[in-house]
Amino acid sequence: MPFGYGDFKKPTFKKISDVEWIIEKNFKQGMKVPVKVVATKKLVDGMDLQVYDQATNVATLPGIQKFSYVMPDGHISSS
Amino acid sequence: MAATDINDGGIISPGGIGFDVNCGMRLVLTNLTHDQVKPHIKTIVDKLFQKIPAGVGGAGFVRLTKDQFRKVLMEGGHWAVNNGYGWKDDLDRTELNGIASWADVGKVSSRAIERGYNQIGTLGSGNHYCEIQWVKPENIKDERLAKKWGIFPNQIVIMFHTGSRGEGHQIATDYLTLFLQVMERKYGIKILDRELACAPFNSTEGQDYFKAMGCAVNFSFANRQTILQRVREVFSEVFKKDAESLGMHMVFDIAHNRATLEKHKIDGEMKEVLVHRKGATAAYYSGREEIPKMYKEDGSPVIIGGSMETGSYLLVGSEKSEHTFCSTAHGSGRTMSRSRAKRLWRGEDLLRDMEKRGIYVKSVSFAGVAEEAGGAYKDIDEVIEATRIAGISRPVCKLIPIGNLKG
Repeated sequence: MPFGYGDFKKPTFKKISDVEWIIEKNFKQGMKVPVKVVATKKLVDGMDLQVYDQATNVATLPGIQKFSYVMPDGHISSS
Repeated sequence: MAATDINDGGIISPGGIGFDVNCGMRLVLTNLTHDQVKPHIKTIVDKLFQKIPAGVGGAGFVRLTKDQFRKVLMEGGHWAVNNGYGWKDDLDRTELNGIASWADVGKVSSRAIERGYNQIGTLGSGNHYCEIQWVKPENIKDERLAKKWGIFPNQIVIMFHTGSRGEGHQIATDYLTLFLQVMERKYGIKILDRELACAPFNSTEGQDYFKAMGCAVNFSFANRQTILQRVREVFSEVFKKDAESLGMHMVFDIAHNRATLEKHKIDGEMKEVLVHRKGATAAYYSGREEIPKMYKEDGSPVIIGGSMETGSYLLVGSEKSEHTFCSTAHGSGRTMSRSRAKRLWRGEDLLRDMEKRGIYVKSVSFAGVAEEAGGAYKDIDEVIEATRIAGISRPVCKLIPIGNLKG
């Protein structure tokens, strides 16, 4: 999907530290683990909502352990 | 990035790995200084442009029959070194020792063989590149490690970024299609996102993909190994000394689109997990078994590439990286689409402007240059700082571009 398109829900982030932010399991049906975003607040605010949509989809995968992680350079990619 | 427990129905997913399988970065040293190299930068980049095919499609300089290619897919970097491309030492400075030992070419489709067999020795396009970089003295962040790893002030190093080209892409496509067919019907896994189609790691389909993915990994190891040979040849030609005398050893080769089987402690229990790193780089803390001998006590070297205007970083895996399954960032991350970047910048203007700022870029396409404008990317320093604060990777030095061959 192109950048900035689509109707993606904006998540609420729980702050763990200056560089750790959690999206809780109840954000999307089927999530087995929370999402952990490793990034500064500035980077978190600047990320395309589709990044969080992808990460929360990953969180539904069978056997996933601990968290679905987003790194500080998180962005949409088709490759 | 996601780790799945293979002994508890954990899946493997091509979407969690990336289509450019084992896309990664290789960093190479020289014993040359900025003053020695700068006068020749145009010659060097122009020669690299002649010797390393770049751009979409394109046949590589390594001529192979399909049978020979199948051997490459089984032996990876080892095939390359055994056939005169590079040094045995290069394999000691590559993740997985330059070979996915679990690969099985029998799991690769004939379509994938067809797409890939003439692409060994090609850079690719998009954000793939070969860059000549300068270690400014003030950019050495960890003096002890820099020195230990062969980095010195005002040194010139080379970094290149490429992956498994059409090969990896086709393999990922083949298995994504297969998984979409079986995941719900056979394994009762609901398809929430088609791009994340998956199968249990321990299923026939899961194992087949893992072995085919191994072949794509081997493709990229062989690809980067053969390109390294060309880079050494160019420097050798320009400076009239052999690559050994020019001190052109590798620092390291990392991938940022791969899944690897690793042991990690989860809730006090040691588990074997498949760590899917799509757009994430492995960052192993000191002592981990994955780290080659020469770096084991330091932590694994990490290479994070920025835009062609800003520079890249060499880092080391840090003590707290266990909390991200030994993973860190891979680049600075795009902030806008390629089409938007092309609307905002003109390739020719950008090239002229960069040359004035001391960066000589040669590219296959002007549009490709515009897509890669620095403004289309996040601030690399900020990304690196976030990984440092999180304790997952720590900067050793920042590397500034002075020349670039772009695909």
